[in-house]
Order: sequence, then structure tokens, then C-alpha cells
Amino acid sequence: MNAVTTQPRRPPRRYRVANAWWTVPAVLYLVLFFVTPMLTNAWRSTGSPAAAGARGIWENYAVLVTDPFYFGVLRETILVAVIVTLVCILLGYPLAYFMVRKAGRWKGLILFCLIAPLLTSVVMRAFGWRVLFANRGLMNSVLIDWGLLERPVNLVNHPVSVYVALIQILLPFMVLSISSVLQAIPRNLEEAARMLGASKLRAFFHVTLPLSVEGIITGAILVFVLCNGNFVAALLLGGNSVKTLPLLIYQQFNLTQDTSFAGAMGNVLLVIALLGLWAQSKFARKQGG
Amino acid sequence: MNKSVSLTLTDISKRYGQVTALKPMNLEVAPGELIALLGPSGCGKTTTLRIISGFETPDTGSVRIGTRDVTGLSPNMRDIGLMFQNYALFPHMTVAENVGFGLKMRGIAKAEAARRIETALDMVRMRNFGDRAISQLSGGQQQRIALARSLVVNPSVLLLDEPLGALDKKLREEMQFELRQLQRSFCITSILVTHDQEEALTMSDRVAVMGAGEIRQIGTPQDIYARPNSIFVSEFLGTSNIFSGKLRSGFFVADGVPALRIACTGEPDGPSSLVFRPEKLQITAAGKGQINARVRDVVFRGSQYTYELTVDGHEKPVIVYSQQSFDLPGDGVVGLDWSDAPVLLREVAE
Ligand SMILES: Nc1ncnc2c1ncn2[C@@H]1O[C@H](COP(=O)(O)OP(=O)(O)O)[C@@H](O)[C@H]1O
Ligand SMILES: [Mg+2]
Repeated sequence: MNAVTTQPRRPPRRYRVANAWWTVPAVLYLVLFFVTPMLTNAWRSTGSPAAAGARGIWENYAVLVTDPFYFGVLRETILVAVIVTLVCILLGYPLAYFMVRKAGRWKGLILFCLIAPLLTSVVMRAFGWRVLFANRGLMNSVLIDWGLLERPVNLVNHPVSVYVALIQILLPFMVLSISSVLQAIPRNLEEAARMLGASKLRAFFHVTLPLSVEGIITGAILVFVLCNGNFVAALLLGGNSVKTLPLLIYQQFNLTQDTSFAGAMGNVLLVIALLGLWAQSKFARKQGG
Repeated sequence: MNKSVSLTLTDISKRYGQVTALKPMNLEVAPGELIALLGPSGCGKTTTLRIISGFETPDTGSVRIGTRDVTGLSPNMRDIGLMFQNYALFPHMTVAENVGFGLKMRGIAKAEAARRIETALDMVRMRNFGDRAISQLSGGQQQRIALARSLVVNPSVLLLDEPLGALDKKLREEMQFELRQLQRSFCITSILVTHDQEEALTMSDRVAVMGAGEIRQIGTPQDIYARPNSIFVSEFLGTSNIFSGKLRSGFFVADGVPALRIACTGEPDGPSSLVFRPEKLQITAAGKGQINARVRDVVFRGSQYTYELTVDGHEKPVIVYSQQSFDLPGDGVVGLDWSDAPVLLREVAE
């Protein structure tokens, strides 16, 4: 009759595939570049066919948790991720709070400063820290000029530089997760608390903080998982002082070329990442109702 | 039940950069009184409330509650209850936890708090809702909980920022009545901010009509309705038929309607306006009234008829409320009469 009635009606809130064939490229892509490598990797991690008789299929995994060296690496990987995550929370929350509640028109600039580094390659940023931390780098010369240091401290190839680089790389994810949740908390909830007799601090701890826990958790899981997968910082700045699983994987591939052991370590990382995602979805569901 | 105290604003003013949100303003709310701040949006109502509650510092002036000067006090020390337009209930707490929040902040013992929460929930007829989540409540129920939360701590002053704005019409009328009753029974000094004239008229002891950052008129609802002091107030409160004209040697003559000529003694000459309220005008047979008009439209509104008339030489339609319908003559020409004297204002609309 008119344009409105002849328009095809769509079922609300449900996606329909107009033609099943259209999904073929996407499915092919996923199978080729996602499912296949993962299956190959899982297969590879069970041991090379030649040695399969000698080692059981769980052998690689058994070595990872029983060998003191490898277990130490596994533990250090998780420890680094936990510390980086905690520091990111402690630095990221105030930053996110400031950005959302206090920055006013400067918010855009802060947001830009947070996002801009994400556009630079992680390798470049790690090298940047090398330059800053080097023996005759910016940090040492400034600190010596100010008389705060007598001799340069070498932070390159020192765990501190790995932590600093990881925190710098991952902090934006924390800030963005927290700020997006803070943004959604109506300001007058804090004001309502104030009117009911709460000081600024109590209003924050009773109202704002509990309402932003979701952002902290999302950010923490994101940072934790990304930190677990990052080998560039440890490789370029750690000089073997921080041994993490991803670094070891990198070395297995390039030096010893024990791809089946590297595959096993990769799968362990994958499981940790999946556990993180599972924890988050679990939490999100609990929040939802 | 309550230690009713007065609330006094002396010369408070506020600028935001170039914008003058509030010109120096004085307001005295008597103990137990409810004053409505009525005005169009942007006139400074919220700014006034925020200065009273302590979220904004006035550029000049002081706020006193009873004999206490609270101007420099932080919001949590002022002993004021504030109800927000969107209720601002804490979504991560149950109904009872919301109502009990102020008691918790005051360090009141659990058992005593539980008893007072129950009384407060009773008072707003939400007795068995204590364990509910906020998201399970309707708008009207949330409104009641917000009220209970404000009142449970027995504040000296209650501030209501457009408290019923988010409710539908029927619920709004119900809640107007209920809110008013609670306010009376607590005898709590209150300020109600609204842009809804009906809400202001039905709920308040006195109405302060605000415009452009100042109080334009303050008085009882009857007083302001019957005797507006300006075109702004008369147009903002109720419907007005305004004839602009000139006052010369004791007579007002309307511009373009020479037949509208009224004796006004004791007033100096100058541009003036006459304000007729629609229910003060009567329709008569043509020639029998003070002036003639032509009926353009009649609308039946249940309790009354609304007539829309035109007067030759007068641009705007004239509105008349009447209880009965008339047999109109074929040409629609009728007379207009009035029993009460219209209100004379010494200004003309621009
Ligand atoms: N934080 C602020 N910054 C700048 N201007 C403001 C601020 N708050 C209010 N104003 C301005 O002050 C005037 C009065 O605002 P407000 O008190 O909110 O009016 P109302 O509540 O009557 O609608 C408006 O012109 C508004 O734009
Ligand atoms: Mg407002």
C-alpha cells in the first residue's frame, strides 16, 4: 500500500542469515587460521610421532608442572601477571576516576593520551623504555643531574624495566574498562549518599566503589590475560632476568626448536586465558541478576 | 514529631562564568512550611537547591537552618534530606539497605535501625518490600522508597527536586496528595522544585515563582493566581487573557479594542495591561456584555466547556471556561462580561 507496509519485517533482536552461503568465507577463514592451528598445536603438544612411544601424550605437560625449572617459570608467569594487574588497578582506578569525574573538558586529551600508545607497536614501546632506562639514558642522566643518584643504575635487563613496560603497555586497558563503568554511574548516587550523612570517602567506599567493581574485574582479567601472552617486554628488556612462559615459547621455537614442548606451553597459556574469560562471564552473570 | 525549624536564604547568588544562574535572592521558609519554587527550566531552581544542600557554594550570601549558619558546611553535615528527580536509589542495595543507609552513616545500632526502617517502610505503604532489589520496583514504588530514605533520618529540612516529574499523570496526582500528607504529618520544613504549575498550586503553602535567576513573586497559591504582579507570572501560572493598552486620566483603553474601556482610579498614566482569568469571564447575548466577541471554537472537557473567542482588533484568542453550553447565534457573535475586576499590570508584553 505504502512504503511502510511493503518494507520487509525483521524479527526483533535476532540475527538472520539471509543466505547460508554468505557465511562460507568467514567460516573458512576461521577454520583455516583459527581452528586448524589450534588443533595442530594440540596435536603437536602431545609429542612428535617419532618420540611418541618414548613419551606419553601428557609428557610435555607433566614436565611443565614437575620439573622445578619449568614449574618456576609457570609460577613466575602468573606472579608477573598478578603483580602487573594489581599495579594497574592501583594506578588505573584513580586515573579513570579523575578522567570521568574531575577532568571536565580535559577528558578528551587524557583519553587520547591513553589510546595513542595503542597505535604504536609494542616492540617500539619496549625499545623506548630501553632508551629511557639505558646506562646513559634519559632517566639516569636526569637523576644524576638532580643529584638524586651518584652512579647510573642499570635497569635494562632488570626485572623493574619489564614490569614498567608491561604496566605501561597494559594500563590503558584497565583505565578504559574502569572508566566505562564509572561513566555509567549516575553522579547523584554519590550526592544522595552525601545528603544521607556520608563523608566523601564513605560515599566513595559505600556507593561508587561497589558499583564500579565490574569495571575493575573486567580490566583485571583483560590485563592478566594480555600480560600472560606478552613476551616482548621480557625479551627486549628483561635480558633473561624475568622468565615467563611466552618468552620460553619464543625461545623454544627459535633456539631449541622443540615445537611440541612449545605447543604444550602455548596450550597452558590458552587454558589460563580461558579460565580468565570464564571467571569474567561467571561474574557478569552474577551481576546481571 | 519533628523539631521544625526555619530555613533562611539571605542574598544568595551564583554565576557560572558568564551565566548568572542566580541573582541575589532572599527566601524565608517558616518552620513546617512547604514552599514551591516554580519556574521555567533554566531559571535557577536546581542551583538554589544545590546551594541549600551544599553541593554548590554561593558567590554571595548565606544559608541558615534555624539559627545554624550552614553556608560553609559540607552536605553531609547539614542535616537536610534531598529527593532527586530520578530518585537516585542505590542499585546495589536492597530496599531496606537503601532506607537504612542514612542510619548506618549515623552509626545507629542494628536493632534500632531495623525498627526505624520498618516504620519508614510502613509509612510509605511498602511494608513487605524490604528484601526486594531496586530494579524490581515500579517508578511509583521507587519514589516512595526514596521518600522513606530521606525521612527516616529525621532531617531538619526536606528538599524535593521535581519529585514527581518521572511519573505518569494519574500516579502523579495520587503521589502529590500522599507526599503532601506526609510532609504535613512530619511538619517538616520543605522546598519543592517544580516546573508544573498544578503541582505547585496543589501541594504548597506558598509558591515562589522564579524567572531568570530571581523570585518574581511569592505568596499563597490563591494570592498569586488571583493577583499576579507581572505578565510573566500571570502567563506562567494558569491561563491568562491579556489585553495590552494605555492608562490615561483614570481610564484603561485596550489597544485596538476601544470598546474595552475601564475606569482605574488612583493609577498614574502609562502603558498597561489587563489580565482576565478564563473562569472570570462570562458569555452573554450579543450587545449585553461589556464587549462583543465571536465564538471560534468550543471544546467539551468533561467538567467544563472551553470557549475560544476572537475579539476584533485583538490578536490572540480569548479563552473562556464555562459550566454550561450556549445556543450560539448563527453569526457566532456573543457578548463578554465579567463580574470580578480584572488584574491591572503596569507593563505590556513585548
Ligand atoms: N554547572 C554549571 N555550569 C554552568 N552553567 C550552569 C551550571 N549549572 C547550571 N548552569 C546554568 O545556570 C542556569 C540555571 O540552571 P538551573 O539552576 O539548573 O535551572 P533550573 O533547575 O531552574 O532548570 C542555567 O542557565 C544553566 O545553564
Ligand atoms: Mg533543574
